[in-house]
Amino acid sequence: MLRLWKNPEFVRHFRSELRRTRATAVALVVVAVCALTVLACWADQESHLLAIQAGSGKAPSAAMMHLLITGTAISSFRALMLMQFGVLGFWSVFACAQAVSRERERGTWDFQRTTRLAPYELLVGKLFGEPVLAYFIVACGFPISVVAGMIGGVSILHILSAFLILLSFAVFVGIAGLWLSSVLEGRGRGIVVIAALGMFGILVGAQGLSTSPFPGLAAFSPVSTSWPLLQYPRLSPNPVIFGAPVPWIVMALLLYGSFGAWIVLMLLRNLKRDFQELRLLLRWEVVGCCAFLNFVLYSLFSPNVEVFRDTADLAEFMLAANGFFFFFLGLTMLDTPERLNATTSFSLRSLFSEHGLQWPWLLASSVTSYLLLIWGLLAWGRALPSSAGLPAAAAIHLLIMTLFITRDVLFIQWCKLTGLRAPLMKGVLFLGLYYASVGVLCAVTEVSSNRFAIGLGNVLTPAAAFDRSGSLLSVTGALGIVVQLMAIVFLVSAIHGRVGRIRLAAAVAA
Amino acid sequence: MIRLTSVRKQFGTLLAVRNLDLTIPKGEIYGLIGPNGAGKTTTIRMMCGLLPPTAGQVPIAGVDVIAEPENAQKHIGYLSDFFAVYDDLKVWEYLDYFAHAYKMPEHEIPARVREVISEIGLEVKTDSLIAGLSRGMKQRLGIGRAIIHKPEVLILDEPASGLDPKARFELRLLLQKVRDQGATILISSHILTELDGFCTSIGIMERGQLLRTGTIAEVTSAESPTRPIALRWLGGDSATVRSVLERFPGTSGIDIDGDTAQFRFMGADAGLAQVLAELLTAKIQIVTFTEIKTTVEDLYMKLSHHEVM
Repeated sequence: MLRLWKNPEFVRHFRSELRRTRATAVALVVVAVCALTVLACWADQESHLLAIQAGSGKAPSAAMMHLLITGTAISSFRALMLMQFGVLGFWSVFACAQAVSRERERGTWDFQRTTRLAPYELLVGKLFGEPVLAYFIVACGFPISVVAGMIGGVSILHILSAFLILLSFAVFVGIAGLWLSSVLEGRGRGIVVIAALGMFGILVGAQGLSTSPFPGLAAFSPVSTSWPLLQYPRLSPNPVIFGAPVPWIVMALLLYGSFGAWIVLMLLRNLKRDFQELRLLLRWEVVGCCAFLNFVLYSLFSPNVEVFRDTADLAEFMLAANGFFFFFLGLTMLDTPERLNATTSFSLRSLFSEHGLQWPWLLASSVTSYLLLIWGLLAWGRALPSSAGLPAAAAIHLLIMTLFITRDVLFIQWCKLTGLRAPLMKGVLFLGLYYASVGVLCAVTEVSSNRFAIGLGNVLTPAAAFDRSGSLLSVTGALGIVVQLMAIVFLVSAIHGRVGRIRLAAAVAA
Repeated sequence: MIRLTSVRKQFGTLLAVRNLDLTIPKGEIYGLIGPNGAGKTTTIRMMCGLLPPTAGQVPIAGVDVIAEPENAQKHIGYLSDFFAVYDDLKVWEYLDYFAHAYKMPEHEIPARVREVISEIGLEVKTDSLIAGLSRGMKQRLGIGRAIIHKPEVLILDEPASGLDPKARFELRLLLQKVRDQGATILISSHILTELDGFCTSIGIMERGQLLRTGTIAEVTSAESPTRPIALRWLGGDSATVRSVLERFPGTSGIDIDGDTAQFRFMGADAGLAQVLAELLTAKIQIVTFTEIKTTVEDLYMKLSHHEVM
């Protein structure tokens, strides 16, 4: 059923979007735009060459004519490819980001869910069906682009590679858009579109990461990968995997493939589920995803970019990155009040159950991150100056980060049990308010005592995790650990109480 | 055909459906009635596999909708009150899409699409865009979508809401046709007159529980074993009428008003015939002598406490 032409969802979009008259009109418009582009490029090249000719005082030659033709062809090829990147990439993310939310809004989603279409069929149908008009536009422009590129002297391999990157990028942003559409489907379509466009901007802007310590991440941007294929001068040297340079196109395909696979995993599990029943990742997959994200960063690290002075800098960056990973992964583990198993039993089986609380899994993710950190430090220790006592300090710092993130995730889980409307959004807003308040408090107290402000920050925020004073753990840092442990115990008991109340209500009512 | 066993659905502290047990045999037209918030839609969504139950099992045609959702959908046709359709498709394309989505054998699809279009009476609109159809036509198309794969169970959630009387009548005819083809139909509706004379059995739901379930006769007799009878006669001899009626041990609640009377009768039809014969023997000129049929609405008003969660 993966055959596209047999996929009912794809066929539906194809029929409604590409009726004969519309398809003909679109094809004519594409050809007209291509012709205008070529003419514009011709005029530009001609005026450029005429200016050179006037300067040299020579008569027009056959060589200049050849130069005019090849120059027009290569600039037309570039312009057409950039237009196709813009149209297909933007359209793909824009259409896919509305795929589920629009169906839900107009009331057709339930009918699709009650068909026998498997989630992967729906996924494939929507992924290629929603932006089918954009794919048609690219298909119409393809022969003209190929001819222009070949006349311009671009090898057919480069031309096809550029189209491969174009398709991979469109599929990747389409999958990401679908994911957003499914996890935010309870919200208005506008928010989903804004989020999708923000994500599109971030991906295109990832080109800026080519000068970061992780240049490989710039391969997310089609600008990095397509630039050399369009015969532009290289923007940056090839990215590295474990220090070995790889072509941009390979890096892009690796990133799109691996990150896309995680998103597809989440989509396949949840696409046909009710919004309230969404569970993005299984608990053990959370640990796997955490390991994957860490592994990607270590493998793409380039010691040649002199941002990190020593391994302590690298460890500090990874600590911050893991803070984000833990928080995001913690959110993927939020459970419904009916299914949450907030047990008081301390057996391994109940602690690590599929519907158990998030903290044992965050702890497991943290241990995994720590092991990978040690491995990363060993691997990159040869390229960067090592810092003494780093593994012990990193362990303490990672523990502090894990405790704070665990507290925050448990708080949002508790919000989910309270019957708040939009508990996730409100929980995140409350946390934002909390950190902003602590920031203001620290800023105010800093006027009278800098030490007190730092201590306050260490107790109430994970600032102690970034303490580079030299001591393994400051007093306020230790106090922060104790306070957060108490907060976690309090939240766990509050969650337990809530779940108990829900069970009791059910028992009484039954 | 439909068998719900100890089904419970909980949203936080709210128990939307409480240990619901419901069996609907093959060929029944089952009317699920109850006030807003009674748990009807939640029950229906669980039957269609749109919502997993917190506890209990929901096998439809012997297939568990939660364990084998795609397999179970083969047996289920679903239509909700909000009958959205794809306006940018043609009528035949819409049905063709769902026929493929329900994975009907490829070679059967064109004929089945034509057959359903004919059943729903949209032959002249086959090649028209859905956007141009009237609301009633769209609703019929919705029914067509629900039956395109010949489901054994048809589940309809408030299918007539928002339809004008003519469209409602057409919908009723269409559903009768589907029933005649052997489908089991579960229909939830607020418009109780709509279910009268159409449902073979009913369930009255309130606060997530079934207050009564069974055939209309069963529910009626369970509620009250007596039957209400009305009669009218010529002349004003109400004393004779009363004395005749009081002679029978099965009669009760005699209420005489001028030349009309109502009473309740407990017993078989033969006993009732005897009452009529006795009245005629007493020279009462009977004009009408009828049993007042208990409507679904009467039953609902009698049984329901109109409580919502």
